[in-house]
Amino acid sequence: MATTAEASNTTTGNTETATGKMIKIQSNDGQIFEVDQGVVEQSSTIKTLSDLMDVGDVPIPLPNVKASILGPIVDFCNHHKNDQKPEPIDEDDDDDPNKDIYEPKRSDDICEWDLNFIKQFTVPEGTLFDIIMAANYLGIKTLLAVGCKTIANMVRGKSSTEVREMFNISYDPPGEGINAPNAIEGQAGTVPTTQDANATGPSPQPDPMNQ
Amino acid sequence: MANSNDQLATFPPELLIRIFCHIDSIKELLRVSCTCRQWRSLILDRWFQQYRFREFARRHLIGHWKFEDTNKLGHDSSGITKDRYTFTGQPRQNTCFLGSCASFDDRSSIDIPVYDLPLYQTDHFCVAVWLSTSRMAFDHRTAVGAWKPDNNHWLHLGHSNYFKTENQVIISPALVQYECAGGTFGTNQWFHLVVLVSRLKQSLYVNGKLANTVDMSQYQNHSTVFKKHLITKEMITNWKEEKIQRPHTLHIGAKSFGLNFWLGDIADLSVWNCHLEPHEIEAIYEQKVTVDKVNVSDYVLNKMSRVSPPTEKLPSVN
Repeated sequence: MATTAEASNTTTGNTETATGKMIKIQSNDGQIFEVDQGVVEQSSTIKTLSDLMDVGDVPIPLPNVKASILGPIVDFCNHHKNDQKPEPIDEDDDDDPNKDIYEPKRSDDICEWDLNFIKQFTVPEGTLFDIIMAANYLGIKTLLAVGCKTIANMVRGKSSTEVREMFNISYDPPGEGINAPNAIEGQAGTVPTTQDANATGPSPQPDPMNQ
Repeated sequence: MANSNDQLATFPPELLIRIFCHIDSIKELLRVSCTCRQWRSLILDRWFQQYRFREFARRHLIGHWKFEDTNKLGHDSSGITKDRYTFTGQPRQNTCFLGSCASFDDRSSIDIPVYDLPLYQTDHFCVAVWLSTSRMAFDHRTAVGAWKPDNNHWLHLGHSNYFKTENQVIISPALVQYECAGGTFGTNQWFHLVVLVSRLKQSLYVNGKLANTVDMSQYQNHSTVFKKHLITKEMITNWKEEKIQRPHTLHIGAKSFGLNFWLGDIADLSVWNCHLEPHEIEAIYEQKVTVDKVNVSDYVLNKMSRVSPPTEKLPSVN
């Protein structure tokens, strides 16, 4: 049964408050969150759905996000709703060669609040990946950037072996290469020294730009 | 259970690409490419390399002057300096192999205030520019400068009185100057100059090649000290604590208001708050296009094809 996580002052319909219309959203495990327009504006998915569907009191379903992730996302958006609004970035045009490269600058730094926010999500529990996937699904670019920068920072300075260990990644996809059922004993665990005909690029290289 | 630490292995490629774009160093990125076959194929991809450079430019290009608009010759395509430029004299638009350039007559400059732009208040930056001069005099000539006494000496890129390509940096209120000179500058030909400045080092690239590097971490490597009376033993001991000065006004065609004017043409000036990498500098020079049109992917992939296979052992996972 659905439960309302964040109650507004009124109980029926998508309510109007001093900060504008309130929208209800529902996680895939049935929890309902009530968010204001400042939060909605940050999520292209929620905004599109709320613009398309005037569903009254019915919460907008978000089937790809569970409550334990959606709750912090609402917190994140509430914290950032008064941030200066950047100029729009149309990321759908990313592969358009005629597109002007001069879009709004993005800071490489993660602000202190965001750093503390993202710390609650971890690799071992998989929640760091969950929040990135959810941010991507919900179209929250600032949160997606924070998540991606966090992973990039974790990878930076590590050897490929350390990266594989950190994220439990196998060199070959399951069932292929060193993970193939017919892999020659003794070969598994070693990077091939000749290029695999099935590989989609050259063999991996150590520090190639410095040679 | 979905929550485990192997989810990154199954991340959609579009998200992996977003993550990889936040790794600015190509060296680092190529090391990451050794992680697994999927990452390798994503990173060693022509489209990705080009996308990555564009993203890099979006984040780090803090000034770009292509001089394409006659009526707005000081227009900064990056938008960062907000076109608040003024002119000294009358710089003109000219044509060149890139399309457009700005022509300076030894008494003109484009002056851009940057003292209030946080992105410019940095000691880690890079400036790339094409230069040509019709006549050299026996004195310094500055193509791009930000050199305001006493505490705003930041950039001094042009040629020296020995007709060498050169940049200068000043550190500390004692005005300790470090000069980084490259090869001989010539008349009536285009040179591509790129200077990389950080607190400890400045490097000058001329026509795609590294021409000189100056170690600024040591006090004794300086060229000149303008206020010797301010130098103390403690300052020398803790020299790395002394700061590079920050810019007040960026001048295209001069070092400061009315000083060391450039005589000749300037094209495709770009200012970055990050260092371009050698292969990117080489690509910009070789391709002879503006930095927003350069194709760095071939340089990365060609470099990759010339190196030997790895010997790194894989852990036994899965």
